This record gives sequence, structure tokens and C-alpha cells, in this order.
Amino acid sequence: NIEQKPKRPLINNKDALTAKYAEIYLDLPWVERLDCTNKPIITNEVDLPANEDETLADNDFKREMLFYRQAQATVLEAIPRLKVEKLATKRPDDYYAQMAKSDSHMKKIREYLVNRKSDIENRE
Amino acid sequence: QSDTVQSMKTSWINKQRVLVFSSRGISYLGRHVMKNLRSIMAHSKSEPKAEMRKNFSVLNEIAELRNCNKILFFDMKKKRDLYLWMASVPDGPTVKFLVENLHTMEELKLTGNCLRGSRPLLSFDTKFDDEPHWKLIKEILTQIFGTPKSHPKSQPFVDHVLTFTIIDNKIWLRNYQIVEETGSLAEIGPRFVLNLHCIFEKSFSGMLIYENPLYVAPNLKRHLAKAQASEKYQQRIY
Repeated sequence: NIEQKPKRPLINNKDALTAKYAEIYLDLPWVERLDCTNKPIITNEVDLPANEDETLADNDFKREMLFYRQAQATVLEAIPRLKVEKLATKRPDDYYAQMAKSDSHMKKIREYLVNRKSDIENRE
Repeated sequence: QSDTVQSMKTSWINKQRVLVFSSRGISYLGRHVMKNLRSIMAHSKSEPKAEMRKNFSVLNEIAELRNCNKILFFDMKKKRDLYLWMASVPDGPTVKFLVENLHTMEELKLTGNCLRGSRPLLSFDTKFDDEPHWKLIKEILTQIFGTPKSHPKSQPFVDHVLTFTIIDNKIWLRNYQIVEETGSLAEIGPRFVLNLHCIFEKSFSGMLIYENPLYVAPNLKRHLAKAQASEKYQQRIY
């Protein structure tokens, strides 16, 4: 047996991390940054799993619900602030611009959803 | 009113420019996710694939040539392990992640859509404030993924949310469209999980200031899985 070298202890230089944070921190008004830190909102309908739950990473439904709730909390907090800053969240109906997904792709999604629905109905 | 369009002539203060590109030998999945990121980030710039194996300090020069102050660099090893480097140029820091569970925007089950280049809201988990390294990463993510206000290529709307959540010591990224202002959302994509590996003090150089104790290299993970599978035969009793 070969003697194993003792492993180098892992580095966690908290002072350097904090200093770096202070160095790169972008000190601009919230409108420029648009960052929010939220806990997921809790509604009566679904019992929200605790984030500490170890099975959460493997439980798709619970986990996605958590992300969704967190995004909702952010939206609810940010919309009034955006209104104060006079930033638009909805585009007018006559505002045309390129979308992240193309129209043909969105059409495919719609067809897929319809097909899946009718498939399930056919099976029953 | 939430649908009055603000004039784009207002000042553009926050000058973040992100160079999004990859090394050679990246798989189709990584390439598609990279393309998706470019389409949701109006302040991103692209660059042809770079051929490099060891020395990443060339990336600083490339960023400087393209007038960028942030880098998102995808690097694939063995055609299956995708690493993502996020760096702030020229003074650092650099954060290295292993990317897991990649899903692109093109997947059919994601029904949301947003304007190309509209500004996202950035939603962070409260865990990001707990430790200094998460705090640092939160700041870098804010600067990289937040589209600057009145950027010439952006749209004057805020119509999607990027959420970053820490579960299992990894960062999970999701992108949602704001359907209704009451909080109804639809997912747009892409989605991926970032497993933190380490943080360097400078951009692609400098000393190591953080290492994730829970990080297991994908090679070792495969090795352990293989060893475990072979144990079945070693321990068999006749």
C-alpha cells in the first residue's frame, strides 16, 4: 500500500471574499439592478416544502413549486416598485418586436399541447 | 400604468457588457443553452469558439478587445462535463461552476415567451445572504444577468423573472414570463443547475479564495459509481 499524502485543507478565505464583494459591488439605484431577495410566498392551497428538506432536490414537483413561489414573491414585490419608477411590464397590443421564441416554435408548442390532451382523451 | 412605454433616451448608466462564448469541443446542448442566453441578454456579445486547453488568461485579452467587462465562458471536458466560468474583467473575481441538468429554451413543454432583450427581474433565494461566497456570487450574477436600463439593444419592458435558488448547495436557475401582474407565471427556459467549484481572486488568475467542500469532480463521481457497481460481484457469496 502506498501511503496517501494528507490532503490540503480546503480554502475558504472569508476576508478575501468580503473584500472582493465590497470591491465589485455596483452601487446603483434599484432600477438599474432589479434584484430582489425573497422567500417563496406561502399560500394555503399547497403546503410549501421547507428549503432544508433533503429530498427536495430529487422531488421534481415540490422543487419546481418552490421556484415558482419564489418568482411569484419577487413579482408581487417588484411590480409596485416598477410602477413607482414608471417602468412598463406589459407591452401594448400594437407593439411588435422580436420574441425570445419564434412564432413557429410557439405554434409547435401549442400543437404539442393539444395533441397530448387529445391523446389522453383517446386513451380513456 | 404598466403599459406606458418609457422613452429610451433616458441615460444609460450601467455599462455592463458580457462576452458569452465557449471553447472548442462543446456539445450541441451547451451550444443551444449559450444561444438561449444570448437571446435573453441584450447586453451580451458573441465571439467565435476559442481553442485553448490550459491557459485561460488569453480570455482577458479577448474581452478587452471586445470591450467587455464580464465573461461567461463555457468549457467542455471529455465532451460531457460542461464547466461555466463567470469572470469580471480585469480585476476579478472568477467563479467556476460545473453545469448540470441542462435544458434549452427549445423544449416543447415550456409555454412561456418574452420579448427578445427585455429586462429581467432577478430573484434570489434568501440563502444567498448567509455566507460571504454566496453573497459574492449573487453580486456577480446580478451584474451579468441583469440587463442595464435603457441599453440600446434592450426593450423598455420588464416581462420576465430569472430565479436563482440554492438547493442542495447548488444554484438552480429558472426563467419565467410574467403573464399577469397578480403573480401568474409561465416558464420560458433555459434551465440548468450550477454546482460551485471554486472562486479565484482575479480574472482567470490570482489566488484561490474559495473551494466548495461538497464538490465532487465528475470523473471521480463516475469512478465511484463504477467501483460501487463492481462491488456487487466481489461480495457475492457462493
